[in-house]
Amino acid sequence: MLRSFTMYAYNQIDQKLVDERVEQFRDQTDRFLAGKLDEEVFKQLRLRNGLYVQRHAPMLRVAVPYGILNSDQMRMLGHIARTYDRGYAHVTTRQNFQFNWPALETVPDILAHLAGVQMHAIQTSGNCIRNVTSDPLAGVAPDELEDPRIWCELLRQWSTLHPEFSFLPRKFKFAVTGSRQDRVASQVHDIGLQLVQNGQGEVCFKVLVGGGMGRTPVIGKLIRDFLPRHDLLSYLDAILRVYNLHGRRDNIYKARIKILVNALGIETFREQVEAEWQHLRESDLKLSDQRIDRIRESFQIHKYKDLEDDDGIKDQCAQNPMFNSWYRQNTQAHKIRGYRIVTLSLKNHGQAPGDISDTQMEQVADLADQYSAGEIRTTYSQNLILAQVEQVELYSLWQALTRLRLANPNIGTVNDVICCPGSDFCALANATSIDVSEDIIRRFDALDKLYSIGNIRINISGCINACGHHHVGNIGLLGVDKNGEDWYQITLGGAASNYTALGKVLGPAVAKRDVGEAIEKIIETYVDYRQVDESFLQTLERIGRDPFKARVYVSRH
Amino acid sequence: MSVVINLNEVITDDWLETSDSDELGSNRSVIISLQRLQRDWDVLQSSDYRIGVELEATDDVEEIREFLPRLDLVALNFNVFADGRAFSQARLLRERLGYRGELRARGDVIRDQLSFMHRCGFTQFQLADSEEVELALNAFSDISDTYQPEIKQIPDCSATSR
Ligand code: SF4
Repeated sequence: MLRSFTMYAYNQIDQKLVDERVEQFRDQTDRFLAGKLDEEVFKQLRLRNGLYVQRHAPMLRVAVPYGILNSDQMRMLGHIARTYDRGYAHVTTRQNFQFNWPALETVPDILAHLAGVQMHAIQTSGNCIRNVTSDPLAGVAPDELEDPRIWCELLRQWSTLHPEFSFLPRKFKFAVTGSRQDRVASQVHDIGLQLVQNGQGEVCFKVLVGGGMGRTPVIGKLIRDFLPRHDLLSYLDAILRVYNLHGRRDNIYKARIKILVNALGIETFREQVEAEWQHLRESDLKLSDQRIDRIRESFQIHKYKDLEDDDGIKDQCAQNPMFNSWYRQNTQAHKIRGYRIVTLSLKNHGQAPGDISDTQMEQVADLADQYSAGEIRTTYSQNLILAQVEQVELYSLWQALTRLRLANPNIGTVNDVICCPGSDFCALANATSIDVSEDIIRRFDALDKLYSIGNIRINISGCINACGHHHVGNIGLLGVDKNGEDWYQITLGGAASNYTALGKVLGPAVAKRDVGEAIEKIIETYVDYRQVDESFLQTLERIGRDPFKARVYVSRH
Repeated sequence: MSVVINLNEVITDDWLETSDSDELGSNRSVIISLQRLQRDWDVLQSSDYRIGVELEATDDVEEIREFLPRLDLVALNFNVFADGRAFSQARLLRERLGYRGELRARGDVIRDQLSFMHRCGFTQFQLADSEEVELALNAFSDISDTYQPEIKQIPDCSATSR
């Protein structure tokens, strides 16, 4: 029987922990509101429960561990959006959900609702180990070596309320992948874990450390090429301990692990970790086969039917150009014959990239039940995935998604913009980002134009904190403040996959009114210069930045 | 005087924090700095003082390895509560250096970190002045089960009275 995992199901201990955590936070909130808890203390405590205070209101970031939800959880998110917020939520690049308008006093109730469907907001912010991200195609990708989610769940448990590492110098982000194609940007995380095979054919972890975005973008360095899987937690404890003790705490801009790794050099850092690890390796952190099996057995199983590939799709594509576009752009191959992976686009006109309404959430939940084993995945590029769709059902699913405005066939294109909330919501922002992405989406709205350009990743961040990952956009936009006005610095050449690169600045920042045009010129330049089948990055590599510069800054020369 | 909780009961603190220039007086239990410990070791080791040493977050716990058999208390200082280095220092003392004496958290010690502290091996908690004792005593039962391995041979806070 063909099968794969769907969701991890909580046991009593998991459930009790999230329930108690809610009551703990309720008590902390009550104490704060009664003036009995210091503001700075409460800030650190609420951050570790996902609660920021933003420009207009609190923002609650809910964890979607390794990017997978079941339909009941999605319905609950919809319910929360409607009852406690303004009818929508936002999917982040770290696969989490954000609510922008909850009232502080209602947050304990929201968390209680979440706990009721085996969800939480633990460690989605604050200087601690953040919710782990993973491959949205885990378990279904044809190029997968091993399903990373068992390891992700082990990491979730290991990092949750870790007594030693809950007050680190700075936030700490993990990404885990089990596929040959890196869909998690593992090279730009504090720790990137890649499942790989060693010379003996054993599956091990390749461990990268010290990658990251922010004001000092760095590509992660290899610290270990073949870490035995049973040693995963002890090795991570060793890395985290070296960081906790020696990471800088005097300057928040120099506090990430990447700064420590760069200051020591990877060789010295590795030696310190190895020295620490020798003491930890044979401790209780060593994973037994039983422990791994227990986690594995806690995942629910999806059984596949024995299907043939569906020939009818060819006809449907031939008869309906819109379906054809959607099929080509928004669906991809599944490891099981007769199935297909479907991406739901959260990139539309009049909608901030990654935003989804309460009714959309509820209806997506229904569609997941009907078409996709009741599971929904969130992606790094701020879209959703239904990963278990039978090919014969694609047409009717497409019709349903079209009615929901979730079938825009733009996945991977210029319009599939990755974008942070910017100054519309974020207190730290220098500039807006949502209206810039709207401008771009509008300019490239015509599908034939969009497809003739091909796939280009655009990323927008409203400030140097780089939540929109502009450093790794093929085209990156960074909001900067110039005398109180929104300007944007443009970078070209970034990427975050197997090939990871940081974009280089094209030239002086441009004013908001000129940004859309600048993007158009960059893309025109690419289209004019490209040779057959050349990607944006390949063309850029071949011709350099000057031709792009010449067109973008033409009027100012 | 600040309140000291030992596991989960309030105790009378018979330890005296002594600065490097103070004479050691009639109080027979003294907490001194690492510098003084190193400086006065010859005299101290054969004295009848009970010796406690206070470490800062920047100190390497390895520095007190040789003194540990003679120490009755180690105090780790939380300069600000959000500086988490003392959590690692505590675990190193317990698990690496095998220290079995009293391990005290001092400085900015707040109610909502007590349980983390205990799980890293602290047994005594000298509360920051802002903290309410009753609330602090309840802190250990907020979360009953945790995912990380327990530190061995450390008394359990929840096992006693409350
Ligand atoms: S990049 Fe800046 S503006 Fe955008 S969400 Fe992050 S902190 Fe806010």
